[in-house]
Amino acid sequence: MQIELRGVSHYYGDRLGGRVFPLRNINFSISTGERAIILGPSGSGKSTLLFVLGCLLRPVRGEVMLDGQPLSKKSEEELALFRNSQIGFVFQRCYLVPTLTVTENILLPLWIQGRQRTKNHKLASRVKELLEQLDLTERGHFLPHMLSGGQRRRVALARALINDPEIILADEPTAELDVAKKTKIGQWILEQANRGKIVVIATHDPSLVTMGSRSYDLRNGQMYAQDSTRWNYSGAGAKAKSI
Amino acid sequence: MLWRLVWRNVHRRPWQTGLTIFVVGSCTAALVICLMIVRGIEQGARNAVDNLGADVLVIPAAAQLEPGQVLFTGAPANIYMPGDVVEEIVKIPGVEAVSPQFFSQTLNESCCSLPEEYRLVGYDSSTDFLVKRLLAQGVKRELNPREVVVGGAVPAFLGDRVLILGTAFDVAGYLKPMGGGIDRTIFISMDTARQLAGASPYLQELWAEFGDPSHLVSAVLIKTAPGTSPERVAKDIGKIEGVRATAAAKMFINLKEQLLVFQALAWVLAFITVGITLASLLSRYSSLVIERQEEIGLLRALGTGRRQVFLLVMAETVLSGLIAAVAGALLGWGLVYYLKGLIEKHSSFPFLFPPLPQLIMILTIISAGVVLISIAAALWPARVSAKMDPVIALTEGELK
Repeated sequence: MQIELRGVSHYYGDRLGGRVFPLRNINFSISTGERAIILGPSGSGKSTLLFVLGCLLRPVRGEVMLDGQPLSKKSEEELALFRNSQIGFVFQRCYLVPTLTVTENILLPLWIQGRQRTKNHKLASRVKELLEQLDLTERGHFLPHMLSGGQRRRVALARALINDPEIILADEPTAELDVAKKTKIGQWILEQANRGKIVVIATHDPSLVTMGSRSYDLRNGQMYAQDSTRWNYSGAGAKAKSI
Repeated sequence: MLWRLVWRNVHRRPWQTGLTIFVVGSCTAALVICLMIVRGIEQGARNAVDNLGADVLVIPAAAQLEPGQVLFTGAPANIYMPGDVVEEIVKIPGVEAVSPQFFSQTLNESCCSLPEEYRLVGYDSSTDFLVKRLLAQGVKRELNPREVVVGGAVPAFLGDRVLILGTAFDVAGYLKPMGGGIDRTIFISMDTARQLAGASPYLQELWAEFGDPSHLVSAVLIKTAPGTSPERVAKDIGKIEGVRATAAAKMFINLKEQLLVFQALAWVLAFITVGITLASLLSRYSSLVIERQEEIGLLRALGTGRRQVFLLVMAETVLSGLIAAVAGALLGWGLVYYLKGLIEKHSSFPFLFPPLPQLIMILTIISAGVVLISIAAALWPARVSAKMDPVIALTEGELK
């Protein structure tokens, strides 16, 4: 699978006629087994880029291509189906459904798909496996308000992966995590690429760059390819700097 | 369909669901009360007139009660006129059959007597055309002097025995509830009724005023000849001194006229209730959409189609509406049951519950109507939810 942005531009307009251009003529391509890190300051358009890659936002200009086919020709319902079956999205905010337990939140994409039988052993063991991998084993029956910020983020991660999607788009996946978990979880997400998935992460966290990925810098709506070796990370709380 | 999500949203948001159930349930209960009270009174009156089996009712002119009260309520009616009046009535043209009745009452004397005061009606078996017909439905034989037949609202007592003015009687049969005074009446032979009343130390004041009870009657039921106007006959009987005659149909019409005000009031209240419910639900569901914008955005982002979101909101509405409507209908029915007692006790209106299948049908129709109101109120908010752009819903939802 290959997903490609060709000359993608997008802007948000307000009712007073003001416009913000988070993306200007972006060209980007990523294929199965590859991972990319998008870095950039707040408001640089990282989330918008992920929304476009995740078929949540149709760009004002340019085209999103999937295996050479333009996604603009697909209907809303087709895109919804595609998002559900092929994309695992970790949003900047976790967006957990407050009335569902941790396990139910993780299963939500499958419910949407219509696969509601949690008795299914494969599904149950998949949920259990994800809870274990993300240190949430004891929290399966908790409601979101009973979780810490870091735990919620891990639940959102598990939800993104339950469907075994082809594309994983993660917006600040390591925010609110402690240093040890940051490294573990970051590595774990990036390793998904080794299992034949496309992984795109938008982050402020330069530690993820050292994990051997293609990295890009998004500034003023423009995307610049970076050599990951040019980045140095000097510990928790430190700012990434170019050397 | 996301039934699991629907169910969890309904039962894990107790405050919101409770509020919706309260609004919808109250509306249902109010509608049930408004519609069933009016219908129950009308049905009770119709049944009472039908069961009277007479075309004209004659009572003493000096009686403090209206003829309708005599017919429609079972309150003790110690009204008396000389028995000779029957002979005069028979002479009126158009009168086909005449049957006198003697009224007395039970007394709440001791632990073994009836818990309330009921009307005791002594009937003349030689001329009677009302009680025999009722007996034919239940007892299917003549009563002996130690037997009574009790109305549908008189509680069973001492097994099949009842203590009346200190004397024990066997209950030969219980009549089905028919609405009107018959339900709260105990039927007994006229001679026995006169003897009981005459011997009761509690009623001696009455006999001092009216004379020997063996020569008194309380009411006379009259059947008119075919082709004769009961109103005309009633008018002619009314000319006899000391009596007041009313055509049965006229009593029903009078009651219907009195009911018109109640009917209009009930309909106005029903419309206001529906309007308030519709407005509250519309406001409730609209704010729900704003409250849950983020959740709806998430569902859309995770691949829920517009139609599914629409159905999700509608299903939640229908589910909570259905629970509320059923609860409200049962509450309304319970309140009508309670009010029935008050109506019978404190007003001159009769009341009859519809038969069970009809009752279930009425409650179902009202509940379905209320669920439809909920659906109507949720249509617009559900449409707005379904049309939400997922990114805007998520980003704007963060700010709300």
